[in-house]
Amino acid sequence: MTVVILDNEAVQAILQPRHPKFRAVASRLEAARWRSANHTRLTLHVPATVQVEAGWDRTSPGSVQINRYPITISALDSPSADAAARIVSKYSVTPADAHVGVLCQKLAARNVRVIVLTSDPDDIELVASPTTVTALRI
Amino acid sequence: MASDQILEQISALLASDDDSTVNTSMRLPAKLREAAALATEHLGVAPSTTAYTAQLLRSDIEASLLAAVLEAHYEDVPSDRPSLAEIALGVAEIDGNPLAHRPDLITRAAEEIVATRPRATPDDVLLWAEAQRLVRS
Repeated sequence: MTVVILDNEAVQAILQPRHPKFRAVASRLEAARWRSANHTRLTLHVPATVQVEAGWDRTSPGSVQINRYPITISALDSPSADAAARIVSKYSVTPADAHVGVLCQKLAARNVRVIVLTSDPDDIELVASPTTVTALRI
Repeated sequence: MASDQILEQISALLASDDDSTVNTSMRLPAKLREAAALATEHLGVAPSTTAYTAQLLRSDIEASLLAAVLEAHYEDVPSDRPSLAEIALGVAEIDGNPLAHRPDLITRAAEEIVATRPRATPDDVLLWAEAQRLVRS
Protein backbone atom coordinates (compact mmCIF):
# COMPACT_ATOMS: atom_id res chain seq x y z
CA MET A 1 0.00 0.00 0.00
CA THR A 2 1.16 3.52 -0.78
CA VAL A 3 0.01 6.67 1.00
CA VAL A 4 0.57 10.10 -0.50
CA ILE A 5 0.56 12.83 2.15
CA LEU A 6 -0.11 16.37 0.98
CA ASP A 7 1.56 19.20 2.86
CA ASN A 8 0.26 22.76 3.07
CA GLU A 9 1.39 23.92 -0.36
CA ALA A 10 0.15 20.77 -2.09
CA VAL A 11 -3.28 21.31 -0.53
CA GLN A 12 -3.16 24.97 -1.59
CA ALA A 13 -2.35 23.91 -5.15
CA ILE A 14 -5.57 21.91 -5.31
CA LEU A 15 -7.65 24.29 -3.21
CA GLN A 16 -6.92 27.48 -5.10
CA PRO A 17 -8.11 27.84 -8.69
CA ARG A 18 -5.32 28.19 -11.28
CA HIS A 19 -2.58 27.64 -8.71
CA PRO A 20 0.83 27.64 -10.45
CA LYS A 21 1.87 24.42 -8.69
CA PHE A 22 -1.21 22.36 -9.56
CA ARG A 23 0.57 20.76 -12.50
CA ALA A 24 3.52 19.77 -10.30
CA VAL A 25 1.12 18.12 -7.84
CA ALA A 26 -0.83 16.44 -10.65
CA SER A 27 2.30 15.00 -12.27
CA ARG A 28 3.33 13.41 -8.94
CA LEU A 29 -0.18 12.08 -8.31
CA GLU A 30 -0.22 10.59 -11.82
CA ALA A 31 3.23 9.08 -11.19
CA ALA A 32 2.07 7.60 -7.88
CA ARG A 33 -1.05 6.25 -9.62
CA TRP A 34 1.12 4.67 -12.31
CA ARG A 35 3.42 3.04 -9.78
CA SER A 36 0.57 1.79 -7.61
CA ALA A 37 -1.72 0.62 -10.41
CA ASN A 38 -0.60 -2.97 -10.63
CA HIS A 39 0.67 -3.99 -7.27
CA THR A 40 -0.35 -1.70 -4.46
CA ARG A 41 -3.16 0.52 -3.35
CA LEU A 42 -2.86 4.30 -3.24
CA THR A 43 -4.58 6.65 -0.82
CA LEU A 44 -4.24 10.38 -0.23
CA HIS A 45 -3.93 11.75 3.29
CA VAL A 46 -3.92 15.27 4.69
CA PRO A 47 -3.11 15.68 8.39
CA ALA A 48 -5.84 17.68 10.14
CA THR A 49 -3.35 20.38 11.18
CA VAL A 50 -2.29 20.80 7.54
CA GLN A 51 -5.96 21.18 6.62
CA VAL A 52 -6.21 23.98 9.18
CA GLU A 53 -2.96 25.65 8.07
CA ALA A 54 -4.08 25.55 4.45
CA GLY A 55 -7.42 27.12 5.33
CA TRP A 56 -9.36 24.24 3.82
CA ASP A 57 -12.89 24.46 5.18
CA ARG A 58 -14.86 21.62 3.63
CA THR A 59 -18.10 23.57 4.11
CA SER A 60 -16.86 26.60 2.17
CA PRO A 61 -18.06 27.06 -1.42
CA GLY A 62 -14.42 27.66 -2.36
CA SER A 63 -13.61 24.06 -1.41
CA VAL A 64 -15.85 22.45 -3.99
CA GLN A 65 -12.96 21.29 -6.19
CA ILE A 66 -10.74 19.84 -3.48
CA ASN A 67 -13.72 18.21 -1.75
CA ARG A 68 -14.08 15.93 -4.78
CA TYR A 69 -10.69 14.31 -4.16
CA PRO A 70 -10.65 11.06 -2.17
CA ILE A 71 -8.58 12.54 0.65
CA THR A 72 -8.54 11.04 4.13
CA ILE A 73 -8.11 13.60 6.89
CA SER A 74 -5.78 12.18 9.54
CA ALA A 75 -6.91 13.31 12.97
CA LEU A 76 -4.45 14.27 15.69
CA ASP A 77 -5.13 11.99 18.64
CA SER A 78 -3.59 12.47 22.06
CA PRO A 79 -0.48 10.26 21.67
CA SER A 80 0.17 11.77 18.23
CA ALA A 81 -0.17 15.27 19.68
CA ASP A 82 2.47 14.40 22.28
CA ALA A 83 4.77 13.03 19.59
CA ALA A 84 4.17 16.11 17.42
CA ALA A 85 4.93 18.40 20.35
CA ARG A 86 8.28 16.63 20.81
CA ILE A 87 9.08 17.15 17.12
CA VAL A 88 8.18 20.86 17.34
CA SER A 89 10.41 21.21 20.39
CA LYS A 90 13.30 19.33 18.80
CA TYR A 91 13.32 20.86 15.33
CA SER A 92 11.45 24.18 15.70
CA VAL A 93 9.05 23.30 12.88
CA THR A 94 5.39 24.19 12.52
CA PRO A 95 2.74 22.01 14.20
CA ALA A 96 1.52 21.02 10.73
CA ASP A 97 4.96 19.79 9.67
CA ALA A 98 5.30 17.93 12.98
CA HIS A 99 1.94 16.25 12.36
CA VAL A 100 3.17 15.20 8.90
CA GLY A 101 6.21 13.68 10.61
CA VAL A 102 4.12 11.75 13.12
CA LEU A 103 1.85 10.45 10.36
CA CYS A 104 4.88 9.35 8.31
CA GLN A 105 6.23 7.43 11.30
CA LYS A 106 2.88 5.77 12.06
CA LEU A 107 2.34 4.69 8.46
CA ALA A 108 5.89 3.47 7.96
CA ALA A 109 5.56 1.33 11.11
CA ARG A 110 2.72 -0.47 9.30
CA ASN A 111 5.00 -1.12 6.29
CA VAL A 112 3.15 1.43 4.20
CA ARG A 113 5.14 3.18 1.53
CA VAL A 114 4.93 6.92 2.21
CA ILE A 115 5.28 9.68 -0.38
CA VAL A 116 5.00 13.32 0.71
CA LEU A 117 4.28 16.11 -1.76
CA THR A 118 5.88 19.17 -0.22
CA SER A 119 7.52 22.50 -0.86
CA ASP A 120 10.29 21.57 1.58
CA PRO A 121 11.55 17.97 1.33
CA ASP A 122 14.42 18.65 3.75
CA ASP A 123 12.02 19.59 6.56
CA ILE A 124 9.85 16.55 5.86
CA GLU A 125 12.84 14.19 5.96
CA LEU A 126 13.83 15.80 9.26
CA VAL A 127 10.44 15.48 10.96
CA ALA A 128 9.90 11.95 9.64
CA SER A 129 13.29 10.68 10.83
CA PRO A 130 14.32 8.00 11.62
CA THR A 131 11.66 6.81 9.17
CA THR A 132 12.64 6.95 5.52
CA VAL A 133 10.02 8.61 3.32
CA THR A 134 9.98 9.76 -0.29
CA ALA A 135 9.60 13.54 -0.10
CA LEU A 136 8.92 15.04 -3.52
CA ARG A 137 9.38 18.76 -4.08
CA ILE A 138 6.48 20.52 -5.82
CA MET B 1 -17.51 11.18 -17.60
CA ALA B 2 -19.57 11.41 -14.41
CA SER B 3 -20.99 14.80 -13.47
CA ASP B 4 -19.31 16.98 -10.86
CA GLN B 5 -22.28 16.37 -8.59
CA ILE B 6 -21.76 12.61 -8.70
CA LEU B 7 -18.03 12.99 -7.96
CA GLU B 8 -18.88 15.21 -4.97
CA GLN B 9 -21.44 12.70 -3.72
CA ILE B 10 -18.99 9.78 -3.92
CA SER B 11 -16.27 11.78 -2.16
CA ALA B 12 -18.65 12.93 0.59
CA LEU B 13 -19.81 9.37 1.18
CA LEU B 14 -16.22 8.11 1.44
CA ALA B 15 -15.32 10.94 3.85
CA SER B 16 -18.35 10.40 6.09
CA ASP B 17 -17.77 9.47 9.75
CA ASP B 18 -20.95 7.38 9.75
CA ASP B 19 -19.82 3.84 10.59
CA SER B 20 -23.24 2.24 10.39
CA THR B 21 -23.33 -0.96 8.35
CA VAL B 22 -25.86 -2.57 6.09
CA ASN B 23 -26.46 -6.16 5.03
CA THR B 24 -26.14 -6.71 1.30
CA SER B 25 -27.11 -9.66 -0.84
CA MET B 26 -23.99 -9.64 -2.98
CA ARG B 27 -23.47 -12.72 -5.13
CA LEU B 28 -19.82 -13.69 -5.37
CA PRO B 29 -18.26 -16.54 -7.35
CA ALA B 30 -18.07 -19.39 -4.82
CA LYS B 31 -14.38 -20.11 -5.46
CA LEU B 32 -13.47 -16.44 -5.09
CA ARG B 33 -15.32 -16.32 -1.78
CA GLU B 34 -13.43 -19.42 -0.63
CA ALA B 35 -10.08 -17.97 -1.73
CA ALA B 36 -10.84 -14.74 0.12
CA ALA B 37 -11.69 -16.66 3.29
CA LEU B 38 -8.41 -18.58 3.09
CA ALA B 39 -6.40 -15.42 2.36
CA THR B 40 -8.01 -13.75 5.36
CA GLU B 41 -7.30 -16.67 7.64
CA HIS B 42 -3.82 -17.66 6.48
CA LEU B 43 -2.24 -14.66 4.74
CA GLY B 44 -3.35 -12.01 7.21
CA VAL B 45 -4.70 -9.73 4.49
CA ALA B 46 -7.49 -8.41 6.74
CA PRO B 47 -9.23 -9.26 10.02
CA SER B 48 -12.21 -10.80 8.19
CA THR B 49 -13.52 -11.47 4.71
CA THR B 50 -16.06 -8.69 5.17
CA ALA B 51 -13.34 -6.23 6.20
CA TYR B 52 -11.22 -7.41 3.26
CA THR B 53 -14.06 -6.84 0.81
CA ALA B 54 -14.87 -3.41 2.22
CA GLN B 55 -11.19 -2.38 2.22
CA LEU B 56 -10.68 -3.39 -1.41
CA LEU B 57 -13.95 -1.83 -2.50
CA ARG B 58 -13.01 1.46 -0.83
CA SER B 59 -9.53 1.59 -2.32
CA ASP B 60 -10.85 0.77 -5.78
CA ILE B 61 -13.50 3.49 -5.55
CA GLU B 62 -10.84 5.95 -4.31
CA ALA B 63 -8.57 5.11 -7.25
CA SER B 64 -11.39 5.53 -9.77
CA LEU B 65 -12.52 8.76 -8.11
CA LEU B 66 -9.02 10.24 -8.15
CA ALA B 67 -8.66 9.41 -11.85
CA ALA B 68 -12.08 10.94 -12.62
CA VAL B 69 -11.46 14.10 -10.58
CA LEU B 70 -8.08 14.69 -12.22
CA GLU B 71 -9.54 14.06 -15.68
CA ALA B 72 -12.39 16.50 -14.99
CA HIS B 73 -9.82 19.10 -13.91
CA TYR B 74 -7.76 18.58 -17.09
CA GLU B 75 -10.88 19.04 -19.20
CA ASP B 76 -11.54 22.36 -17.46
CA VAL B 77 -7.89 23.47 -17.55
CA PRO B 78 -6.06 21.61 -20.35
CA SER B 79 -2.79 23.38 -19.59
CA ASP B 80 -2.73 21.65 -16.17
CA ARG B 81 -2.45 18.17 -17.72
CA PRO B 82 1.07 16.89 -17.00
CA SER B 83 3.11 15.68 -19.95
CA LEU B 84 4.39 12.13 -20.30
CA ALA B 85 7.88 13.43 -19.47
CA GLU B 86 6.64 15.07 -16.25
CA ILE B 87 4.92 11.89 -15.14
CA ALA B 88 8.00 9.84 -15.99
CA LEU B 89 10.09 12.27 -13.94
CA GLY B 90 7.69 11.80 -11.01
CA VAL B 91 8.01 8.01 -11.35
CA ALA B 92 11.81 8.33 -11.35
CA GLU B 93 11.61 10.47 -8.19
CA ILE B 94 9.38 7.92 -6.45
CA ASP B 95 11.68 5.05 -7.46
CA GLY B 96 14.83 6.87 -6.37
CA ASN B 97 16.05 6.43 -9.95
CA PRO B 98 19.18 8.57 -10.68
CA LEU B 99 17.42 9.75 -13.85
CA ALA B 100 15.32 11.95 -11.55
CA HIS B 101 18.32 14.30 -11.61
CA ARG B 102 18.35 14.32 -15.43
CA PRO B 103 15.03 15.87 -16.49
CA ASP B 104 16.70 16.84 -19.77
CA LEU B 105 17.28 13.16 -20.65
CA ILE B 106 13.74 12.23 -19.67
CA THR B 107 12.22 15.06 -21.70
CA ARG B 108 14.24 14.09 -24.78
CA ALA B 109 13.43 10.40 -24.34
CA ALA B 110 9.71 11.18 -24.07
CA GLU B 111 9.81 13.26 -27.24
CA GLU B 112 11.66 10.52 -29.12
CA ILE B 113 9.55 7.61 -27.96
CA VAL B 114 6.12 9.13 -28.59
CA ALA B 115 7.17 9.76 -32.18
CA THR B 116 6.98 6.01 -32.79
CA ARG B 117 4.84 4.86 -29.85
CA PRO B 118 2.08 7.38 -29.12
CA ARG B 119 0.80 5.23 -26.24
CA ALA B 120 4.18 4.96 -24.53
CA THR B 121 4.14 4.65 -20.74
CA PRO B 122 6.30 6.42 -18.13
CA ASP B 123 8.31 3.19 -17.76
CA ASP B 124 8.92 3.11 -21.53
CA VAL B 125 10.30 6.65 -21.27
CA LEU B 126 12.58 5.78 -18.35
CA LEU B 127 13.87 2.67 -20.11
CA TRP B 128 14.64 4.65 -23.26
CA ALA B 129 16.25 7.47 -21.26
CA GLU B 130 18.45 4.94 -19.45
CA ALA B 131 19.46 3.34 -22.75
CA GLN B 132 20.35 6.74 -24.17
CA ARG B 133 22.35 7.59 -21.07
CA LEU B 134 24.36 4.36 -21.36
CA VAL B 135 25.00 4.90 -25.08
CA ARG B 136 26.28 8.43 -24.48
CA SER B 137 28.41 7.62 -21.42
